[in-house]
Amino acid sequence: MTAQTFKILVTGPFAAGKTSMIQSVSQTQVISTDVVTSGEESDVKSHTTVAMDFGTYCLDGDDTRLLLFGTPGQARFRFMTSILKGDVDVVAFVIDAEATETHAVAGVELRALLRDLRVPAVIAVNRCDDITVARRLARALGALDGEAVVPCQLIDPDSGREVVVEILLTLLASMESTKAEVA
Amino acid sequence: MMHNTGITTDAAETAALAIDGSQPVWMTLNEARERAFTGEIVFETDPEVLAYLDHGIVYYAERVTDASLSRRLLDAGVLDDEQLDRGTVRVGDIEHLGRLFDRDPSVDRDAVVVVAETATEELITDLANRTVTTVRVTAYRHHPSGVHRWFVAPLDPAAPQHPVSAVAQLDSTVVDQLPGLPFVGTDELTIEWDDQIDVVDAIAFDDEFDVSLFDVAEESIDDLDVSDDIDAEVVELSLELAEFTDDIDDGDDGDTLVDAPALEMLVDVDTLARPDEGLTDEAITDEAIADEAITDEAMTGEADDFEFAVVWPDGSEEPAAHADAHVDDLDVSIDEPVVTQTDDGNLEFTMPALELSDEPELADADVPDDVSDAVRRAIAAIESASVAPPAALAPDVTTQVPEIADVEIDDAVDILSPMVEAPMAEPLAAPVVEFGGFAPPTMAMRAEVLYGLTDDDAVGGDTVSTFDGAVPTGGVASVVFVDEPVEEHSGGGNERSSALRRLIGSLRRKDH
Repeated sequence: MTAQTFKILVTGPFAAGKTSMIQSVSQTQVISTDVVTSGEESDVKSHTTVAMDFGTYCLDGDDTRLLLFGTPGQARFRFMTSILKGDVDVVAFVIDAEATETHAVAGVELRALLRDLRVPAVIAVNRCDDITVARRLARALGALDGEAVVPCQLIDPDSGREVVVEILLTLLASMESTKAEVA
Repeated sequence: MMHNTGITTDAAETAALAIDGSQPVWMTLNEARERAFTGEIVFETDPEVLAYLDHGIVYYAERVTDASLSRRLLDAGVLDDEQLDRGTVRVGDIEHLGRLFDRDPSVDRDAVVVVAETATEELITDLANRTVTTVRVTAYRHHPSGVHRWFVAPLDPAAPQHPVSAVAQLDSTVVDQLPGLPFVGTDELTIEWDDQIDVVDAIAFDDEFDVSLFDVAEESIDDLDVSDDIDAEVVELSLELAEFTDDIDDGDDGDTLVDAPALEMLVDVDTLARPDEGLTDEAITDEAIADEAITDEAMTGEADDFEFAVVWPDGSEEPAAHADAHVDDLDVSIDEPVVTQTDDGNLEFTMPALELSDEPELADADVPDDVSDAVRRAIAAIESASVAPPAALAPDVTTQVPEIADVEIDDAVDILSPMVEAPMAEPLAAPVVEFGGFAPPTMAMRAEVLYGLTDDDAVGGDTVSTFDGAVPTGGVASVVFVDEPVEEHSGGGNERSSALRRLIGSLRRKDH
């Protein structure tokens, strides 16, 4: 049995819940590169990610590892998402359903993300419990019918883990699909 | 008389805008602002004037006889035909400009918006004191050109999101202070104060006043202060290395990676700066970044207020000192991460400073290679620090790499010649002494590729395994980025799927 590593890129607009999602799964202390926010951002939250968040999850007695990379939410760091998205197995895009003021930007980012993405993507709609609402929002922002959509409450770690499970299921389905096509 | 052609559910809102007899336009606009009306108001003047509002703020207004918005933008010289063509979405008879800035980044957004603002303000100013007897109100109807999107969908969520008619709003607020002001049927309406008042104090008593308007003014001032010599914060990404388990390997062809750029990152450890000591000229040795002036206005305006903190894996926070040096004075290496050994023996790895940019639509192709490399190197560093399972992570790195402080640069280069080795079949008994640095990860260095090589070696009987204790001969770690996807072996694919299922099962068990 060889070691297996799976990488998830967690991206999305500012204050959507990306870091919370990584923290809900990571067994190790999440490596954060936070700075004190300033200007209008400080009205939303006190610290924000500027380089990346990093969390891990390993199976006991197994060499299987899950690595989670979180990108900063501000548009000025969008280039990092562009770089990272080519090096991961699956991408999670987090949207805050109630932060409607971020949706226009989220749509731009989501469409840019999906434009040349070669790995499966999952849209996690935070602060939303209704799958219908979540799907409608995701579609409105540019998600395609094929993209998985998960409503979640990322303030709750259990919900964060459920999202990660959904992400891994999507990756598994993609791998199985690819395998079937090759066969 | 008012004709409400809007949606019936908005009847109450639009009814409030009804005109009883003749009244000046500004009263209607004030009413609309108080009601946070969103939609279209048509003032039946000669010619008719159409005003479009969002939450009570007029974001665009035009006479019915005016040229189209696109024509006015062309005439103003803020757009050319090619930009207009690229930025316009045409669906049937609809020519939608709402995505102009998304579709053509070359368009000067500020110039375009200013033209629209100016035209709107001139028209509203001209119209404000005129009397009308009839208005038509249609809730949630926006200008067909899609200009509404310009003012309610900024690209940067952190950017100020004031509606275009901020000035108009300010004027309206001032007018609100005079509720008993009788209507004067003249073209000029003059407001006078007997005493000079402190504007800020006066505003403090008005709960409805949008104080954020002053932010706009401050930002304008900041814009004026921008110069080439800008003190800027430089973000340090400091990563503590918990354990090194990557081994060092020669390439198949016998080439080592001595010449690889990543091997050049070693610097004299005596001259290295700790992260909390700020960036010094000694610690930053490349001119790559120094040549690029940081023009981030937000950073320049708030550099003194910007505080950085690095959260270490043990949970402790470490504030990073401000970079006091001018950017032009910095000698920064984006290719040369800084490695330091602290007084207590811990090894600290300081990533190159990342240059912050407010450019919202930076295309992939525009990302400098050095920045891209830095990000990739950060990933490699992170992954290297997490190769071992959590239980194997030792909190104290001192015992694992004690010799690092004694390594001379020249010797270290020799030690570090081979960069990457295919993974060992069994876990390493002890961490390697040699510090291998962090070569930029490549597709050829992906874990599944290396493990795939392991499978090949295990399956092929004639092939000498690299894990039998012999000196590794395979697994060249190329520094050339390979974009082609790597084919997975069927067996490895099954193992991968199986591993993924185990992961899912484990996470699900934690759910319950």
